[in-house]
Amino acid sequence: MKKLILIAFGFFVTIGFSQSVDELFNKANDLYKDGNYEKAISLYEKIDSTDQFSDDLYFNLGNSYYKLNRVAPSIYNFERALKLNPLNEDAQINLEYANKLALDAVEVLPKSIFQKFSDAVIYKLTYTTWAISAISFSFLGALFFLLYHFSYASSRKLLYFNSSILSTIILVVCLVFAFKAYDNSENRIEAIIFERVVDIKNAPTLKSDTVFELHEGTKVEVLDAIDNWKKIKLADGKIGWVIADYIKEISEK
Amino acid sequence: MRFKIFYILFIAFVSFAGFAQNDIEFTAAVSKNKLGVHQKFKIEYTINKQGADHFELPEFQNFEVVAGPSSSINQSWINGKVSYHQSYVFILKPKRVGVFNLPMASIEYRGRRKHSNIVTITVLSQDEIPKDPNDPYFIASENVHLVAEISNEKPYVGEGIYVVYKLYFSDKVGFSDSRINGIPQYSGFWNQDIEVKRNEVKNATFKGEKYRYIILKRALLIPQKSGELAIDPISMDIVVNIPTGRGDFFGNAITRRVNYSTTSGKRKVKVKRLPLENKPFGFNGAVGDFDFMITATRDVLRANEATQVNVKVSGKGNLKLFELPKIETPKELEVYTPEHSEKVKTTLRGLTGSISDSYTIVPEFKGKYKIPGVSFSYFSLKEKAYKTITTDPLIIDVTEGKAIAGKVISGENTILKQTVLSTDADFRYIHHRTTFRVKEPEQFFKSNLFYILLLLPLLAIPIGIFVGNKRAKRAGDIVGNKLRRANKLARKYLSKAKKNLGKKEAFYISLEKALHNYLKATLQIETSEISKENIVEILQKRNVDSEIITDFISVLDDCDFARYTPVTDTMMREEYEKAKMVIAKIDKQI
Repeated sequence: MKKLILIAFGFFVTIGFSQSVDELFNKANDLYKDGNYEKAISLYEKIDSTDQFSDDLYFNLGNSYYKLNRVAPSIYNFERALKLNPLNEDAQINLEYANKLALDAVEVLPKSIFQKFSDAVIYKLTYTTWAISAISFSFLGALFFLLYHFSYASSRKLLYFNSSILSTIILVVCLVFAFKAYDNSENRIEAIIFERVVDIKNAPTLKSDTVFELHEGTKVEVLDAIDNWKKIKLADGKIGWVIADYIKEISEK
Repeated sequence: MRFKIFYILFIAFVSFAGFAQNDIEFTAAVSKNKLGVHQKFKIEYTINKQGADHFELPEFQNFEVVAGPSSSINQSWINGKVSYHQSYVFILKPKRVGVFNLPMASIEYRGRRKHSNIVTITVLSQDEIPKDPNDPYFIASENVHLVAEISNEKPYVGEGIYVVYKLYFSDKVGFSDSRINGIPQYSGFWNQDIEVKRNEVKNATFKGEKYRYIILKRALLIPQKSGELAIDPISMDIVVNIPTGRGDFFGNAITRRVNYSTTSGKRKVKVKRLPLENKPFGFNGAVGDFDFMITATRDVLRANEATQVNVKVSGKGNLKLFELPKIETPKELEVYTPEHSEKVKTTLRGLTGSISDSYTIVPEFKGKYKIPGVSFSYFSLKEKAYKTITTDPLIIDVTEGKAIAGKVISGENTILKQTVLSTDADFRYIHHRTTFRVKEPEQFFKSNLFYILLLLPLLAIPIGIFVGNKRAKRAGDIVGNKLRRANKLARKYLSKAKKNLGKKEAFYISLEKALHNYLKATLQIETSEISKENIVEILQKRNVDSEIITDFISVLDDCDFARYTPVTDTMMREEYEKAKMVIAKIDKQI
């Protein structure tokens, strides 16, 4: 009997999971529309627990949390959406709103021209996009070179040769950008503070001095980890240690 | 007093100007020389001659000067006999128990110093005062009691206690006047007097007997530190009416008035320290029973409108003695310094009422702002434990106004850049459509496939060239190939002739040989067959233009003729070019 119930239960659970994510997504959207944010969140989170993902899902999750005034999860999900798709303008705007709910205003260090360029150009596209464009230009360059080789007319030859050189240059640039974007995306770990108030220590021990205090929703960069401590860096350059449980790292999945 | 002295002196001067000279006497006299430690006595230094001056104050080491010095002059004529007394009076109070000699005082009279006699005073402790039942002081001490009553002798730090000074007096005596000496100091306590509005006489039982009492003074005390703290006694001078036991003509009791001074004993309070275990982090010394809340007058408003956030602690306890917890606000809100207000009543049960901080907040931009909940901790006296009240966060919703939105760049630090956008940058609605993706097990970037695709075109270039060449050969690029071939042929056959340019014999021999060789190579004919007729025939068979054939033959003829005729260098060069042209032309046509 017990077994039977278990099997039946397992069956229902499977049915629950086998529901297509699109169906769940639409259901959650309807719940959101009705103002039932708690339930919408639970459905969105259910999709999130599968291996499927999209930036819109994170965006909607962020919106739901924002409606419930839950600062940290809201900011966290908007950041995730932006990490997946840096060009998601709605997520940018709503993140701005969510950031207003957070307490800490961290002054950003002035950026160098190179950093500004990186922000404006390189990180606008994902590294996969850069990699694909690099390959495209590689093919283009080879094609132009062959055209150059087999053409007789000197004017055409010149055109093809120049195009080939230009393609090669663009190829190299794309490749460099791809590596830079990859580095930024994979090696740069960012996290959101989830605890209401967190003491940031100057060493990874409880007894060490508190350097400063942070509140939930503040974004930090994770530099290092020892035991259950994380070394973090603020946008204004301040550095300290925090217990790992108090922060949540922004990951695409 | 001064006025009095002047007045008397004035009379003295006007009325009289001379004295009989008698023996000068300077004496010290006390009102009593055996007394209790709290009692006062009077000492009077008297000189019986006029004109004494420069009275030198003695030093009363073991006594406290309660009043004085005051001086008086007394002059009288009785039956023509003049007497004069000038005296200096002090009221003294002993500081300790023992037998003391009152020091001598001195005065100058006609250039000489005169010393007074020494008086011995015996100071007894309270109990040692002879208990003469008829001694009015004894009666007074038996029937009048000054008591300090403390509500709680073992309070916690911060717990309010009160002290009441009561004067008990029995039915046997009455009192007509009282004076409190000095206000007690409560060191180590925060204190506030509670005013006694009316001197109401109330009945009470004291030490098993019926007594009446009045409340002299009340104070609320809140200990500020732990340990043993003393509450100062209060001391009083009371005029006690003691019945003498006799009656007057009408039968009313005749009373005697006695100046009685008494003191309430020194009381000690043992202040307990607040427990250290479970002491909350934000505890700031609040002891009592409180309620804590944070309210906003409005939580939905437009930009540049003001709202007030009120942080309020109400209840009973040491309300004035701790600071209110502060609220934290997002940096985008303009917050003014809070206005502090106290509505606290001091009663015997402690301080009751409320204290509050009112923050005025003016939002500048549209959006939702969160003021996080605040914790307030206090030590509850009822439960003898710490308690913490945490409020819910306040959400301030600014519905209209300018919106701020910084350009957010993912991957970089995104905190506000404070760029003001137009009002249309509203909070965006959720997305209704999406395409779900599944994470690829391997990233495309940096994968083998990526590198292969990246380097493939490099390999493709030489392969492409190779394949291209092959195809061109097969397709037989006629024009290009032939042209290249002609030049090649010329280089091959005419190179020797070119070398011999200028040497007449050698040049023409090599030129003729070259032409023959060419025909041998291209037309596959034997050298033996070569005659001009043969050549013409073979070339005509191969459809070569007769014009070109004539040219070819003429070159061969020229070679024969030139051996026997004088030839110049330019002619040789022309011949060479002509040969080259002819070979090329024939080659084209074959």
